[in-house]
Order: sequence, then structure tokens, then C-alpha cells
Amino acid sequence: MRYSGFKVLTQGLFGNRGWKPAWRDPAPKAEYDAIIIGGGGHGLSTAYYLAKNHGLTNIAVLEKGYLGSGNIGRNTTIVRANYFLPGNSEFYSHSLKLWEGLESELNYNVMHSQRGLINLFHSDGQRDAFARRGNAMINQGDDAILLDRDGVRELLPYLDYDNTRFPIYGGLLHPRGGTARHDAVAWGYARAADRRGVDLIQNCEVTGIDVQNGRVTGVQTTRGAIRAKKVGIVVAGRSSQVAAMAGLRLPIESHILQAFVTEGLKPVIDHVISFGMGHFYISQSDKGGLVFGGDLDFYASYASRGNLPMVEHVMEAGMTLMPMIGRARVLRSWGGIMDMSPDGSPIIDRTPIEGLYLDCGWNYGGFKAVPASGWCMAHLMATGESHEVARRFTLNRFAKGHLIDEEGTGSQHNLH
Amino acid sequence: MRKARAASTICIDHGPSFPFAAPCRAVGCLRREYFCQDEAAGSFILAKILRGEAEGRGAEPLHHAPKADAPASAWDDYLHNRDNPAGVTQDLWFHEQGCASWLKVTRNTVTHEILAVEAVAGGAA
Repeated sequence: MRYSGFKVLTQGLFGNRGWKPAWRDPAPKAEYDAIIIGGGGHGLSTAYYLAKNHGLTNIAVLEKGYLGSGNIGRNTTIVRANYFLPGNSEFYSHSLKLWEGLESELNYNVMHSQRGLINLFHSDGQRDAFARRGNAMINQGDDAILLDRDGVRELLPYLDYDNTRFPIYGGLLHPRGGTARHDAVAWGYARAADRRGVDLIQNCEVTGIDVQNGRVTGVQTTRGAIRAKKVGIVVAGRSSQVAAMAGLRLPIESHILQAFVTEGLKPVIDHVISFGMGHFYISQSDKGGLVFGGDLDFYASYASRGNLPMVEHVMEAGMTLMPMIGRARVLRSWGGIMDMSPDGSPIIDRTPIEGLYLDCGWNYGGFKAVPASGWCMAHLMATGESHEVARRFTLNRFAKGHLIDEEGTGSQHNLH
Repeated sequence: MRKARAASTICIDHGPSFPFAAPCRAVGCLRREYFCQDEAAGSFILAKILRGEAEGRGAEPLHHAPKADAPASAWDDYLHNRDNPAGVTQDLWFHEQGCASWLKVTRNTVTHEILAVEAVAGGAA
């Protein structure tokens, strides 16, 4: 069933009785051409592009819970391409272009809203660094506008411009940055992959990866063994556990990143605002809730919730930046499990095991990467070669010293 | 920016019965501060950041560094790769803004439960 405004209208007139499930609920087959472990945003987009770009349709996505039950539904929904370093720059640029065509591509409303993203700066040195970053973004073909203090004040009149510790000198505006409806991205890819014949198998936990003579031969699951010559691990948040089933030890440490949402308010924050010096960023969802977050809790954890020191720090930073939000009531907070890599950049690569591929290490930037991650992982699994825009995201770059350390904080998992 | 906490603060994860094995004697440093009371992100720093310093002070290394002449692959594995268990793990913590103790903490990464806290060799600096 193709979705359209006309469909909504006619269904509405006839009691909405004609809607069908958006995807099938197939039983796993004994063998597939390729298996993707993980039914989150990255896994579903990998499956979609394997089917669409490479014609592989005898494939399955195995999800231990329900589709989109992980970080794809637990993030702050920011979409941007404001990276500086080669490797990241071309990859996220490619991703943003895919975002811009995603709704018609998937025939699904992902509510992609290019409302503009502003990174604030607070010193001459930081302004120079941001000017350089903006030039790198423009060189990549994306957009960036360096705003001075008055330029920021015009767009964001409600910030505290009298702060003496972090005086607002200006901001780097990325007009094509914005947000999207996170669940809809998973559902849109799931539906589009299903329509191309991909089996989306839920409640199917992988319990083992079969390897013979250095080649992957299939997986063991809670719903039986499934054979496949190609297996992709796309399970950011649990990468270390799943890779360990194949005897791999990854350069990944899991950390908690907290986020918060307030009650719904009338439109007040039109952009995505990032206050790096306070480790704080905020936007307003289309439902009206203020969505904001901060930095990692810093110690390795899988708890899906954080501790109060970081809650307090985020609230302090928010009040420092925009005292007007002080009366808003926080409805809920949560913690996502982040695959932190030593340089803060992801891995899309082959493993030492033939036929076993890895897509992991998304740190806390995985949401905006969903389209390009799937695109490049599908390319890798179909052709055996890294895609042009993901060729630097190698598993062995740490050993070789080819780090992609966007923040320049050093080779340490929890510092990015 | 960060403030010292009142003595009545209790661990948000474990309540007042938080099991400590190594009481800290420093002025103003309460036993429960060891791990999760207030400054998990501030005054306690995971020793993985500072392990070189810890070992230099004679503390018991939890992460055994390869020998200087070990192959590059051993150093790569030591520096970058992690077991990253979902469950019980041990790491070394440094009470940076308190008594400067090095602590070996046995904890569960899924539940945040603290199973044991021991002062490592050398004690407070």
C-alpha cells in the first residue's frame, strides 16, 4: 500500500478500516544470502540498500526485541553534516543528501525538518576554529554561515548574552542541519525493506555465530540455526557482546549518554542549539517538548540510565545558556548505551573472518548517520569493498595510527 | 562549579546500605562518596585515563601494560581494545578531588551495583 495524502483522506472517510500492517512477520528460513544482526536504524537501512542498490532480496534482519527498540528510538534526533576531518566530512555529507530525499525514497513521513543548527562560540580562538570548520563544510559542498554576536542575537534573542564566563561571541550556523522523527526513520526503512522482500524477523536473538575454517557459515538464534555466507553485525550498543560470539575483541567501550525531554510547550526554540562549552544542546520537538542532553557519564556502563551528577550538570548548563527554560518541567530522562570508539568515529569494515562484516562504534552520532551507514554497509556486504565515503572507517586504523579524532581529545573511548 | 555534598546525601543507586570495603579517612570524605554519591564524573576519574600515573606511583595495575619491546599488536590491543563486559567488571578509580586514593572497584555495568571496593597498594598518595 502506497501512502499519500489522498489515502489518508479516503481512509478517514471510510473508518480507517483499510490500513494493513506496514511489514510482514515472517518465520526465519533455513538459509539466506545475507543476514543482518540488529533491527535498528542502521540494520534496517543496510537491509533496504542491499535490496535496492544491490538487488539482494533473499536477506533477513534478525532483531532480538522489536524493530527500532534500541537507540534509534532513544536519541535526540539531530541530523547534521558539520564535520571537519576527511573521513567524517564526506560520509556525513553523503548522509545528509540521503536524508534530504528520504521521505520520497521511502514513501514515509520521517518529519525531517531542516531548521538550522547553531554551534555557539565564546572566544576569539574558538571563532577561528569554527570559521575553519565552516570553510571545511563549504569545501565539502555543504553549507555554513559564521554569525557574529548580533547575528546570533537576531536568531536566538532568548539566550543569556550577559554571561561573563562564556560570553557569546557568535555561532556557526548550518542551515541544512535539523531534526527528524526518530521512530519513523526505523519504521520507514523497515516498511521499504519489507516491500522489497527482506524478511524482518523480530524476537529472534542471535546466540552464536558459526565460523568454519575462517569463514562465517551462519548464526544460531533463539528461533533456530540460520545459514548464510554473509553476516553483518549492526548492533551498536551491544557490539562487543555480539562480536565476541565470533571471537573478536573490539576497540569499543560502552558508555551512557543521558537525554531529557520536557512537557510540551508552544513553539519557542526554532533551531538546534549546541553550547559546546557547557556540554549542552537543545531543540524543540514537533510535539513541543524541549529535547536536550549533555555529555557522557564517563564510566563504562550498560545500565540504560545515568546518574544524577550529569543530570545536574546538564540542567546547570541549560540554565546558564537560556534561563527562560527554568520553569519548564522535565517529563522524563533516559540513558542510551553508546558504542564509544577510541577516536570518536565509527567502524564500517570487514573482520578477520571471511564473510563477517562490522558496522559499529557510532559513539553518540549514530542517528544522523543512519542512511549513509546503511548505504555503505550494504555496499561493503554486497561487493566486499568499502564504499568511497566510508573507506577510512576501518577496524585497524587504531593500530595504524590513522585516527579520525574530530574533537582532538586523544585515543581514549570516554573522551569523545 | 561543583559543590561539596552534605553528609546526609545517600547513594542514589544503592541507598544507605552501600557496601564499602575501604573507608576513606580524609577529612570530609565520606565512605559512600567512593563511587556513586555525587562526583562519579568529576572527582572520581576512571583509572583508564590515568593508569600510567597510577602505575608510576606503585599502584597495582589493573591493566597490565605490555613490555616495552612487545610487538605493536600487543600495544594496540592494550590501548584500544576492550573486553567491555555487560556484567561484572573491575576498574581502577582515582578520588581526584578528595583523598587522592586509588581504588579497585568491582562493579556490575548493567545494574550499577558495587560489589567490592578496595584500596590498591600504596593507599592514599
